[in-house]
Amino acid sequence: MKQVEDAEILQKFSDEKTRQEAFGLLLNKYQQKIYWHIRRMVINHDDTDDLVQDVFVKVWKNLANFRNDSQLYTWIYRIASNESITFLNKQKRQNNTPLDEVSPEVVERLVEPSYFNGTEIQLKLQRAILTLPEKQRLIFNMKYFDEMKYEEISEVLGTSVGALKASFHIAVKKIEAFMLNEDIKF
Amino acid sequence: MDNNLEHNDWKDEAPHFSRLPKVNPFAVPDQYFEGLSDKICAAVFVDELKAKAGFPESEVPAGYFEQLPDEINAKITLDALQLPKQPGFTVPDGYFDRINATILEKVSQTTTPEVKVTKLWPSKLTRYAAAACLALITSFAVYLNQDKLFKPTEQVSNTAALNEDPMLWDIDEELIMEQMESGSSGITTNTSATSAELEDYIIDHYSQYEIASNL
Repeated sequence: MKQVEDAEILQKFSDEKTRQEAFGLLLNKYQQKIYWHIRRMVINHDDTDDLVQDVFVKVWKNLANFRNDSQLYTWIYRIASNESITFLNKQKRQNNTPLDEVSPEVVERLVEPSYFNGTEIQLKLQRAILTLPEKQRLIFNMKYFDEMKYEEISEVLGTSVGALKASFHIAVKKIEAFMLNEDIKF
Repeated sequence: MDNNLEHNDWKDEAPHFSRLPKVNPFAVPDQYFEGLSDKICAAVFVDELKAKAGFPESEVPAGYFEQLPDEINAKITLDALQLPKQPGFTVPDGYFDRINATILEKVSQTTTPEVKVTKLWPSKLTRYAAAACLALITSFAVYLNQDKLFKPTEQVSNTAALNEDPMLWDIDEELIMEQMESGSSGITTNTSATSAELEDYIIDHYSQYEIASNL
């Protein structure tokens, strides 16, 4: 299926008659990417489902004001990243978990059999990623899983390319150390 | 080439990790993505309905959410302590059955009688009638005592008194006037005279024949 260009989506969205059609095209193009971007942060499918809907409701409400000072999909990624961080912080406050730690609920949901069907090594890798601070986790996920360029990640997070490179390399080293630690088993 | 370098430059730093296959271990329910667009469109529709209907944000007291965790923790702690529900105090049998009657009895004994309040002026008409009566009485009193209140001048009254005195009818008027004028120079005229003075006056001014003819 040929991917629709962002410019076409924006042009159709600006016309009230074709707005619904444009939004449908946008959903087809980005809903899975955004879903996985959020899922890798919050882990739980049901929470991700809610957040995906919230993100696209915000996209619908604000797309008319999109100023084209960034790419459309980095703008959507930014909304999704912020929603994920807000959700995780809210969850930590509800559980009285310090903000610089991972909520135990998130870790427990990793092993829910209904939504995780990876191997032991993959589970260990996901547990290693969860040890990263949230912003670093976002950087790692966008770089490693989504294979986004540093410039695009910079548009999403508002962080300089140099800081992003440094953060990613530190994250990789942490994960390497975690994976090599034979004391950590599942 | 540059992209490959950017995406692969980390592999030297993490050789073990870099050898792991890039697999997505997370599962999603069947047909989830097929229905996701409709679900999102429905969420957008509901959100617009809320905005048009003007559903207000739920109002909560100020600081509610900041205090909520502490309140919840306090309740959890109380539950965990499993404190006994009963306070441990005892009351006599049938106490609460009797207490109502006891209180009502005491209340009826100490009830103070209602003080009857009588208005001084039951109505405006009464007030105005009283004022009219007072004015009437005052004016009647003034009318009755007007002589005392409105006394004529002393000179006029003195002249009237002189005219009415029969002893002075035979005395020359000019002489009377001279006497009066000599007494009106600021000194009050003393019209009262002793008997001896009168007798001397008559003897000096009248003959014996005149005195005898008038006796």
